[in-house]
Amino acid sequence: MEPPASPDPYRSAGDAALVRAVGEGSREAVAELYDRFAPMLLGLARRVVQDPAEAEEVVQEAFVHLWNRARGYDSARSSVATWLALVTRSRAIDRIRNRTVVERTHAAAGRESDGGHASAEGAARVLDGERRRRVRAELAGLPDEQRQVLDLAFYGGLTQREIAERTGIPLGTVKTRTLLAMKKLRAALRDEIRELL
Amino acid sequence: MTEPTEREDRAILEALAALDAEAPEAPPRAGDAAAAGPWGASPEETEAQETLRRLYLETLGLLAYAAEPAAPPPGARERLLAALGEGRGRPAEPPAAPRAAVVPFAAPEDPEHAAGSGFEEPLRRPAPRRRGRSGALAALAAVLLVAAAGVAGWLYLELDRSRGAVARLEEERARLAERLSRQEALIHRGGQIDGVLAAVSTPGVEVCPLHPMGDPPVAPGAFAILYMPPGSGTWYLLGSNLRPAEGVYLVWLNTPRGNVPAGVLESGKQSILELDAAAFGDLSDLTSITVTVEPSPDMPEPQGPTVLYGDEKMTVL
Repeated sequence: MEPPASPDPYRSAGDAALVRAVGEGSREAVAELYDRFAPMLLGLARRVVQDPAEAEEVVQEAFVHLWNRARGYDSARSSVATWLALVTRSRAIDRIRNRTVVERTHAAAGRESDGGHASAEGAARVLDGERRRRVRAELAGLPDEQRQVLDLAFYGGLTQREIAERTGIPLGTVKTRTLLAMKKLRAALRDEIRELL
Repeated sequence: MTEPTEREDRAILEALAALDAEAPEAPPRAGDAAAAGPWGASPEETEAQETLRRLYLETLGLLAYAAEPAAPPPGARERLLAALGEGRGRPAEPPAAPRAAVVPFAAPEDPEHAAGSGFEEPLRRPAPRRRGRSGALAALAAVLLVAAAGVAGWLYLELDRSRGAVARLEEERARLAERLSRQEALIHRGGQIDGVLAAVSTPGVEVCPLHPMGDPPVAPGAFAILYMPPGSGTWYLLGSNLRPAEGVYLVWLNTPRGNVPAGVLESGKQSILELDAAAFGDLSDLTSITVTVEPSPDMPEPQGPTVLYGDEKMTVL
């Protein structure tokens, strides 16, 4: 019997199937996941660490984590996109927490002179582009004070208490704003969440 | 029993807590003993809680898309693959191609040795046989053919295995989506029930009972009650004992100006229709509410039989 003509099963495989293949030791699956998610993860890491070179290291760490921990991935608990995003965020937050004041100053100086890498518009998928547009639009639609607490929690890695301390807003108010923002986003991004499941 | 709002807030806090988990791939499930806390949730509540936590975790994950994406610099992918090392599990090797038959050392051709010379001659490779060039090529071709067949077979098996895995994951995804829909429906219904309870307990709430119509009744045993809390733009119509019909139960708000379709009341032992009263304009001249059986929810005027009718408003609190 002739094998069916499908030259690259990795390209057509779902994200979770690829993670499972990574768990079985497939480098091709890692490469495919990298192609799918690296632009998004690199953008996230840059936003958090504010340094392109360090962001690349963060993303590499995230994929090494994927390589080592793929067998522990549970698709019932989170989508692959969310898992990778949270791993990347976690690594990036670790970086900024470990920085000294001097390092922060250097990073800021490097940022000023950094020309950046090529635009990702060509690399990002159409689906990702649409998803990005929706997420940004919904975030922009939040009241400033709600967007601020989400930014500080997600990109700044601050706890609710730390946000309260930094902004001078009562802890209860921070919690209320966070809860309201999250409820609005979940309702507004319902379709995007479904796509991830 | 946990209130829906409290449950939702708790799910958000759990999702936020998962952001800082040591291993984000395994945040605590809502039903884990440590996460259950003092709520003492039932299995259904636990499942709903887990679904909510998952939804909010995905919401947080989507925030990553708000950052401007960046193309990886040249060579980054290759550096990553090189950094993965050889230490962990590697892909299964394809089955080895059949090896060329091992040719044993030939017996010496020298008759002297053949006859035995009094001592054992060490085995030595015989002088190469003269074979035709075409014969060697044919043998090589045969070996390559067998090897190619082996690789093709392995590829086919791999492909088949991958497809099976993808199919299983698709099924899993479909099951998850269905479960999510059920949970969302439950949550939505929970929210509706909250709204009804709030409406019913509002001081000055007006109530209009809808009685079954027809002799014999078109829908025996069915009835409904419309709750109109003062100062609220949301009314609730609670239907009871509406059996599945050949068509839909369409609700009409009737005024001297005409009949306004107000939505479909689902069949079932209990059903709720939430009415955005403000969307229907001025209803101060509302004379009655009817429920008819219609072939479509898009009917401009009632044409089917009237199942329920109510024209008597009363204030109960």
